Amino acid sequence: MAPETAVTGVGLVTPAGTGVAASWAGVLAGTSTATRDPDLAGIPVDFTCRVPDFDADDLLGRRIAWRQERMVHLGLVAAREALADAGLDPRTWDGARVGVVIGNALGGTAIFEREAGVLRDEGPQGVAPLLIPKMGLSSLSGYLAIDCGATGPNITTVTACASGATAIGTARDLLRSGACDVVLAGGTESALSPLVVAAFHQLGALSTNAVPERASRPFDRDRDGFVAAEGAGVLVLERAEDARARGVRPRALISGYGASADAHHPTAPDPSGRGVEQAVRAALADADLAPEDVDHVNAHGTGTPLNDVTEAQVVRRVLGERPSVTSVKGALGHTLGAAGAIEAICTVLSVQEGVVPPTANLDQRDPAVDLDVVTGTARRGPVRAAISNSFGFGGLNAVLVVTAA
Amino acid sequence: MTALFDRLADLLAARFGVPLAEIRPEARLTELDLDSLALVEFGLAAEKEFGVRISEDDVTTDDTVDDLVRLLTGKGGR
Repeated sequence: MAPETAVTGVGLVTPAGTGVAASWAGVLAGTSTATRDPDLAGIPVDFTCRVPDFDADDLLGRRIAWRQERMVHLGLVAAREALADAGLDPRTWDGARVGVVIGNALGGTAIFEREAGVLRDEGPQGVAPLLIPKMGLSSLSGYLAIDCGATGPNITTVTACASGATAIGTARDLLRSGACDVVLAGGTESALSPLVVAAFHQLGALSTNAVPERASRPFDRDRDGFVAAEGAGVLVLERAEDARARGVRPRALISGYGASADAHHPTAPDPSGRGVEQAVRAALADADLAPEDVDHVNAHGTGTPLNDVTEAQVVRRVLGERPSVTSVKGALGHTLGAAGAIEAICTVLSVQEGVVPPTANLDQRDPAVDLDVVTGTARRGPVRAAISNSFGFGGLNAVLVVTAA
Repeated sequence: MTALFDRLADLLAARFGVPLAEIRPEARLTELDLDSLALVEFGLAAEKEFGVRISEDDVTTDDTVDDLVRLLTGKGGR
């Protein structure tokens, strides 16, 4: 039998706050974090979910902060929290046995847009020499290795808005194969620059709700798109036997992973849900679980009209009506390449603590969503097995199964 | 200390987070955590701050702060 994969540490930096405690409290409260964004003045959709009061100079020191963009700052803070939570000291570990797998979808778009303006206005001699290393999608996985001396396999996964979940599945495989003893796995995204938000709007993906804090409303009858957000989530994964051998009780287990492609459309989900269903069934089979074993679904639940109905139909078809369902995007917005990791951590906490957060802004459930979606206040009760769904543009699907340790 | 030294110190502190107290004339750039990437970035900043162009060959991480001051002065830095 394949060795069990344990989650021994978690770290979060989200629009609900910096740190797992602040982020989880905000998610459990079920209040929206969307606000007007001064950087988006003049863009038709001028609100986002940003990480509040995040000062990289203060948290990381100017000596580190100047070298990287915000997507790395967020991820670095989350990773350091996860390592401390796991009780691992990078000064004493064998770095060659430590891997890093990080999901990211869009890279450092802010510096790219700014320097495009410099090229236009000042010419090539004014362009920032560090643009390339700072904007790369792999900048966090690379810098994280420097930060903690992890010299094992280092991978950045790119599956659009499923990137963070793909990272965790890939990390799990590195542990199963024996390539690594510890993997830092997660996702980061900070791509709320004007060009990106304008383009998402042109695509029709964003909510245009007149009231920002009511805009992200997964599974609600009046949902009209997602709210773009930034954040990072990092987990420390180890083989469960290794964790127990060093006296650490895992927070939960990553018991299954399923991935698939819709092979249908560049942006729209396949309305038949075949690709999503394939990933869910693959993840359950990988975890050796039956559909009736699943107590809870942490949904992708973006709040776009198409996603939520397609996802709900698959969940109903495969898992029935029993599991509780939530989407934390009502509170946090859509953190894109980080979402799969942030939501996997929320799922871990749901399993560990026996509590399911409510879906913020869900006032009137869409009749086409025939599921037990948690609304209003957090719901307490045992969660022995849960799945976390992540779907990306291109019809790229990643599903994780989280079970009690 | 010259006015140019003070401005250089302010730039190194603000942009690269070097503690002002550590920026002494005899301090080597590598001791201030200024690596090759920092020097590339410094080259662009110096052009904007002092109006001089510094090339890759002009400065190494083994140079001191005083070497930088003399380089800037010698190039007619303002």
